[in-house]
Amino acid sequence: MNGGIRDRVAIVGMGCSRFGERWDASATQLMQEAFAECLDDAGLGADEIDAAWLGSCVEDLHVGRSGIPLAMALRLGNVPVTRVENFCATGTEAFRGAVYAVAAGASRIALAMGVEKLKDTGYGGLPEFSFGAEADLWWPNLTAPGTFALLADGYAARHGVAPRDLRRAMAHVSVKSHANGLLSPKAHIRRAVTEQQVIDAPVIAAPLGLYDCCGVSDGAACAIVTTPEIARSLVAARRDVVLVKAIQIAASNGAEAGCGGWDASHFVTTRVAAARAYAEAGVRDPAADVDVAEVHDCFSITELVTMEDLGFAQPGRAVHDVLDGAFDAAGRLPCQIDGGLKCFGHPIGASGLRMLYELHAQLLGRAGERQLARVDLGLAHNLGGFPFQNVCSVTLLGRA
Amino acid sequence: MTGILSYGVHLPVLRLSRAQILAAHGWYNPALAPLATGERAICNWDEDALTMAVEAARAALTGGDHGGIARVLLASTSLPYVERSGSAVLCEALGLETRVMPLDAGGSTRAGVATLLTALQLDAASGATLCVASDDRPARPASAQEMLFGAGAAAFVVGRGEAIATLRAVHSRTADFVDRLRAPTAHYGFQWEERWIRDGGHLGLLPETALELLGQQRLTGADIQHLVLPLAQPQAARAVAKRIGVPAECVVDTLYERSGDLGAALSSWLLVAALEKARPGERLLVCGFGQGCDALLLEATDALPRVRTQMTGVAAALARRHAETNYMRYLVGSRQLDVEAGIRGEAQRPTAPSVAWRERRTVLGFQGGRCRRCGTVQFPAGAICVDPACKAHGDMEPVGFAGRRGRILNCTADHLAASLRPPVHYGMVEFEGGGRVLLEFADTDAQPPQAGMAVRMVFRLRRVDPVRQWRDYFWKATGVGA
Repeated sequence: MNGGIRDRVAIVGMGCSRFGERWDASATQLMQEAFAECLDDAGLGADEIDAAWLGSCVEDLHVGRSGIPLAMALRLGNVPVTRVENFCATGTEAFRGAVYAVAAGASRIALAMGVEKLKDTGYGGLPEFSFGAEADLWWPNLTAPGTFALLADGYAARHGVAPRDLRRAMAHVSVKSHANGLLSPKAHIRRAVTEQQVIDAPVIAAPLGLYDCCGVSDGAACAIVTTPEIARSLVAARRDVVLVKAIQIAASNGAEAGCGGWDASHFVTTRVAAARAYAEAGVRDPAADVDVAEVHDCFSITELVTMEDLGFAQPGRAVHDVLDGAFDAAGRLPCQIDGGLKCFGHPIGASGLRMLYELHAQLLGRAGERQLARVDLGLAHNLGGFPFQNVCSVTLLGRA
Repeated sequence: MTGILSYGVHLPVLRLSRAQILAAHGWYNPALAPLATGERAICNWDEDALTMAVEAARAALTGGDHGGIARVLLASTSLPYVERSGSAVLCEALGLETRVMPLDAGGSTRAGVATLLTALQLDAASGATLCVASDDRPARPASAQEMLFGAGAAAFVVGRGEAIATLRAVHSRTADFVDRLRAPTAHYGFQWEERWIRDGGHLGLLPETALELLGQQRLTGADIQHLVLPLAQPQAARAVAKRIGVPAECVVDTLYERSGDLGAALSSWLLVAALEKARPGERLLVCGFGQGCDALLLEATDALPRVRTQMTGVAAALARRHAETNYMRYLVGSRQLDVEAGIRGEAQRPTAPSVAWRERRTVLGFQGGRCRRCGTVQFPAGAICVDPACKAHGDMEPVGFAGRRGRILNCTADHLAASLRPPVHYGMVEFEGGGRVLLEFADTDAQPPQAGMAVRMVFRLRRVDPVRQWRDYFWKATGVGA
């Protein structure tokens, strides 16, 4: 990490479409919905954008390939548009492209857009797609819930947790996110559930039940980024300026699945990305310094082990901290305050930017009923792929 | 001494009780009732004639010293392809050398005994012959064949060495006696009246051929200690034995109530059962049937009792069983009932044969690598060592994973993945001697996978492309007790 880009890039506007089963809207319309809010927030015209990044993961289902669909949808001015894909870190990857362009001085005002329209598959769960010509010949007939379910065995074995205690803690993760989602007007799922409902739900991939799995949604979210100086000139009269404190991505190199040592109790990449992000942002004690977190709660067990990987809980203590309410809305480090992937929903390419949208809102004190008392530093975390082979992003946002 | 050096068998772990079949179809075909005793072996959804052949061959290759396989003969009437050599897939799965000559034999259930006979007559100086017979013949629901047929495989290594049985004489008859026929495009066979098959075939051609062989050798039925007949029903076998003059107690149990009619593999399967009991010097008369008859006179050697202690055979295969209690699950698993797979089930990832060719050692052979620099065993084997502390380039030696045991690190039962037998079980397996692979688990009803369980590897079907009929095979883990 060559010095990092801390405080060198500002968010000047953000937008987010309503998430959910958007039978009414195409991917193009979802992008337009998010973009309108974003432009309004920034007080800019579309022609002032000089570079753009489009993040979408399962593009065959909706926008198709290349950056052109974004340029077409928003009628951008023949600026460079780059489409990126990095599994569930896709939205953050788009943001990283825009942020780095500004930090490099190559772009003055850059747009990052993430979009996904998953509900045109005709079935529940994430779409089927190839893992590559070689892996398709020997990988198990796996699904996302199945591979993340493997964490439960790994975590329980590593820390000697009784299955019943782990089951209850996983249920609490979901109960908390459902409660938070109730206060999110744009969330996909806005319904409270009880611990018993979570535990009694149909099994998807043992031990994960229906309520341990996040929503599969349509949606788009975007950010316009620029230099802190330009940002101040644009919005300082109205509000604070939110700065990027760190943005880091770590990709698996095959060690977890390929050689001994890793016990499936944690995410190797999350630990690496978090350490780099904390160094970039100058964070020494994440459990104390981070005020709000949006983590990749694709499954309840993912969120649970991620609390330890991000340093929010001591190793082996996540079960207790979760059950004690440490990460509830009123806890010491609220997580998924907008409902998270679990309830706000998970349109893959949009999720990273949706997390930043909530952090941005919390930092500016405009999160409405969800607004937390004191927010100086927010963390967003994405985990794309599978526990044994994945890409992780960690982003930190704070005020100038 | 030239002869049979070793044997191996495979019977699917699943058994369907014939009472279940009668319960499903008795209303429609009450004539099934007399057949409804015992159980038959059925393939799991991920088994076919090829996967069973691999398992039987692996078992045969573990016993005896054959000094190198030169030929592979695979007999079956139910190989998945009319074109694409099953024995070539078999060779890849077994990791045999590429100069091995593979040959598929089919056309009739006679192929099993015919290939063994051929192997025994070949010049053993050119190397050993692996003879495999495997069958899983489709039988129309509510037909007598659905009751009679079973699925299974048997294999022999034939060559020069410490033979357990040697060839004394052979005799063949050929006749276009059409008891059954099945066109390449037909899923099910056509069968003529069983009374005619019995009188003209089983009580005609079959004993006639056997008696001709005995006559040539100046022997009688009384000189035979083990009579192996290609018949599943014990009363039919007894009637034929009587014609040949073999005492009833010398007829090898047809195992009708435990495995069923294994088609081209039946005589080979029952020959293994006979070899498990035979004493040195005893004579075994083995017959194959289908558009004629082959008769084979074998003699057990002094080496048999000692060598067979190193092998597992019919007794172990019969003991390894799990009762399929749901007839509908059998119909679905055998692809005879087209159930709604959901739209997720329609998703296709067609395999490119060029990719399969490049990856054949990894996929069919389950070959990984060991880094010569740091010793890390890994799968798949790449050019660069996977150990972050090593990352050596181009210093990898091949390591086979198929023959090694492992332990389950973690596992799940996935109800979302589309499967003919949900849920799909998979998880990480750590291998003895190093290496780990994320694997599917097979025969999970027999022994449900759980963390810490010891597993062995089995060659199985992964999926069938419904458009191109391409079959993807790979290895799965199953409990060592299953």
